[in-house]
Amino acid sequence: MGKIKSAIITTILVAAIVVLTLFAVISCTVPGSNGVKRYNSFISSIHLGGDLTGEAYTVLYPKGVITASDYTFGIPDDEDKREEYENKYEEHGGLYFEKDVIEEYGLDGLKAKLEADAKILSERFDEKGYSAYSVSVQDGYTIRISVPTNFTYAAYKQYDTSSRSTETAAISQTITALTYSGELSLRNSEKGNAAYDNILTPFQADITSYFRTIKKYSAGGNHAVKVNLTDSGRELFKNISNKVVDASEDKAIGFYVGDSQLLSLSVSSVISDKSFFITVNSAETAQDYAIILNSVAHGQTLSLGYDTDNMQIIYATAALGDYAALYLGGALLAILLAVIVYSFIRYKKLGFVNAIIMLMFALTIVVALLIIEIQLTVAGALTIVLGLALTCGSNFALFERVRKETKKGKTMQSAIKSGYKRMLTGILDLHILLVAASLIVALVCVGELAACGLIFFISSVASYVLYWFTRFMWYVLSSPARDKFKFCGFAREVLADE
Amino acid sequence: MNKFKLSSKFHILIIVSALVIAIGLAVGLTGQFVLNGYFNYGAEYADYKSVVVNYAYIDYGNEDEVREICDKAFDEAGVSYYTATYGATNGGGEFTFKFSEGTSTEKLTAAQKSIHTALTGENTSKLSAAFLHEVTTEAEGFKALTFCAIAVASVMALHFLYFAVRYRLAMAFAAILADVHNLAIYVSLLALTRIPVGSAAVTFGALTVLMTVIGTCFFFDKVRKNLKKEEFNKLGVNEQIDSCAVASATNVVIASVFVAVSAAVIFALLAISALSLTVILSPVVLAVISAVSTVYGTLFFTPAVYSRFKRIGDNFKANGKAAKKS
Repeated sequence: MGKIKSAIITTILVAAIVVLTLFAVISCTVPGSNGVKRYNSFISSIHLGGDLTGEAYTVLYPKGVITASDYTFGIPDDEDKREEYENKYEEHGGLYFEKDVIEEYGLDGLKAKLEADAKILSERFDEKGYSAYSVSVQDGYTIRISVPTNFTYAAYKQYDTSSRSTETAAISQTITALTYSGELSLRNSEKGNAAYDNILTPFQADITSYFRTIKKYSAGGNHAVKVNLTDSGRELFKNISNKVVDASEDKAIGFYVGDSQLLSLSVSSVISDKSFFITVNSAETAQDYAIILNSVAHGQTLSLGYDTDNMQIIYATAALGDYAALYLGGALLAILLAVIVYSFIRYKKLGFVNAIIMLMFALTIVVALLIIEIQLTVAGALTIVLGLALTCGSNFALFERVRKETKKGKTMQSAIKSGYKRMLTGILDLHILLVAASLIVALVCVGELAACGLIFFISSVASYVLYWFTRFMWYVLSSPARDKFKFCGFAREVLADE
Repeated sequence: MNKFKLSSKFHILIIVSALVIAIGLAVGLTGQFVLNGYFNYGAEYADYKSVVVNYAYIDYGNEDEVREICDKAFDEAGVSYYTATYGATNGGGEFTFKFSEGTSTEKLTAAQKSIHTALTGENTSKLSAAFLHEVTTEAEGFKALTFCAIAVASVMALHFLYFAVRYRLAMAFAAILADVHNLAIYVSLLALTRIPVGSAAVTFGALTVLMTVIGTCFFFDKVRKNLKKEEFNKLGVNEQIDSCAVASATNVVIASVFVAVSAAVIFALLAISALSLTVILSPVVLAVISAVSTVYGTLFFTPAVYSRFKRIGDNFKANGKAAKKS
């Protein structure tokens, strides 16, 4: 390759990397927008885990149970009403219980019901696939739920308010939807039993026997809740849809959990299939409704009612500090720089090839995290480091192999060729195994580890592709060099007969 | 050929590994019946106590002022929290300080009362308050651990099958033994050191297995390629294996040390961010344990074991050939 060709290719590539790096790293206000619009870099738009941007939590109080603060706040000024108010409540461990509630369940009974509800809630939140979440019983009589905020760094620091409000709305919707109490019922205001909350199903019918599964379904930008019916469910829906289709105005089957309507299925003809879809406006909504409906359709109903109207969701700071994400980014950058510096020291100008590959690897990971919306946690960052070690290790192993080949008296071109040939099976086997292993981890594990598996899958694929790209870059960058051995920091072995 | 005579130290390595695993098992079992479990389960797996401090903006405009009051009260009571978080509420802010389950309730009550008194002093709206909670978790961490165990077992099975197909059966047995051995050493050292087990410990466990896969790939690739050389085949089994172990040592050691050092850098910076030394301590120890398990298992134990497997395999082949001839 000629010098000019090499210079052009190198310039284009380096320019592309520099531009992409600038977009990836620098956030700024958009010029001309009077400081109103802001460009958020790729890095600051990556979704982060609870360890880096904190958790959103709320405490669920069973109906009839309030905090000491709420109790104090609610004391009426009127003397008579105050006495009545005070007589209504009984204090236990910092909480105030309506006496009716204690009479109905007893303190131990309430505790047992609450513990059972916490288990059901834990299973429902588990279905969300959060990187980390917790459902815990607090002081025996309340349930504390915490989920990761899924904020990007820009949203966390409130630079990107629109992304922040999207996430907070999603969290609020999820917590509200998954904490619905009561049984599943199908209703229609015209054809349902008016004396029985307009319920369409026969009185005393076991609704759990009608549904096989209720799942989220997304395809081509459309989102729906997919309801799979059992044989008896199919029969039931044939009957009730037959009735609803004849209704004059309300031609829909309402899916209710307790007294809250979640979904409405418009009926234009008799439903006789074993499954049907109810479209919703987002993937998040589809998932939330599918989880709660599937849970209640299989008898997993909460036995207590919870006051979700006054529920306060608190977005806490990260336990690792307010700037944990920034420090983590700094650490990853320091590791990347250390690798690049070491490459230059060990392999002289060949280090530049490795530096380009390392930067390309870093950009690939950043773009992948951004596009696939993988939630990055500290464990995820460690997985990226392992990916970096794999990419860098493959290149260093190759460089050493080529160095050995040159010691046999081969030319640089021949040494590179035989170096790649000798490394081919080893590197291929390593990458095939790691790609398969990371896929297993991504598919089998849940939460944070599944995300780590996905990150390592991307890292392994990127590592193998970049391993071959190294050869191209080596060729391009070393072409103008007169002494190709010196370029690589290798000492040329002079054979006795030369 | 080299002074790295691992294969002949097979018995010593077996004894060392067995000792570490046995001691880990003994400490773990003692912990299971006497202390808080086989491992010292960390925050994600254990119940905890918390002090929640609510304050009103009309009383305290700055959360740092409240944080100072709380820190002072905890210092005086002689208790220390493992995490502190802050979140804005409708009319003010809320601090949550988490303490391990074993923290004295009396001391925590004293601290909570002291904070409460300080916050609801004269000239305040009385809307601020401090509460002590006992929190029982639903052990979501254990679900993640179960799925991780299934994934790790599947990866080991894949490792064995791939090596059996692409390499040799003796290598496949040595590879799966390396996975099991390294993970056992890691788990034993976890039980032995009583490091708090949380998601970081699980992640490092998975990393140990992946690092072992990488290490065995380098080592057995070297063996596989060298076996094609006539000169190499003339050497004794021990010499063959030892020379390959030496040749692949750099890759294995550098990869493990690089990951461990990187983890140390990451957690050192996170410790600065969290202003807490405890943040760095356990993960760095975990990184070291993971690196030690990988390097020891892959570089020392595996070659020694493989030399025995190879000898058995070679004998089996030779006997088969002899039987055919006769």
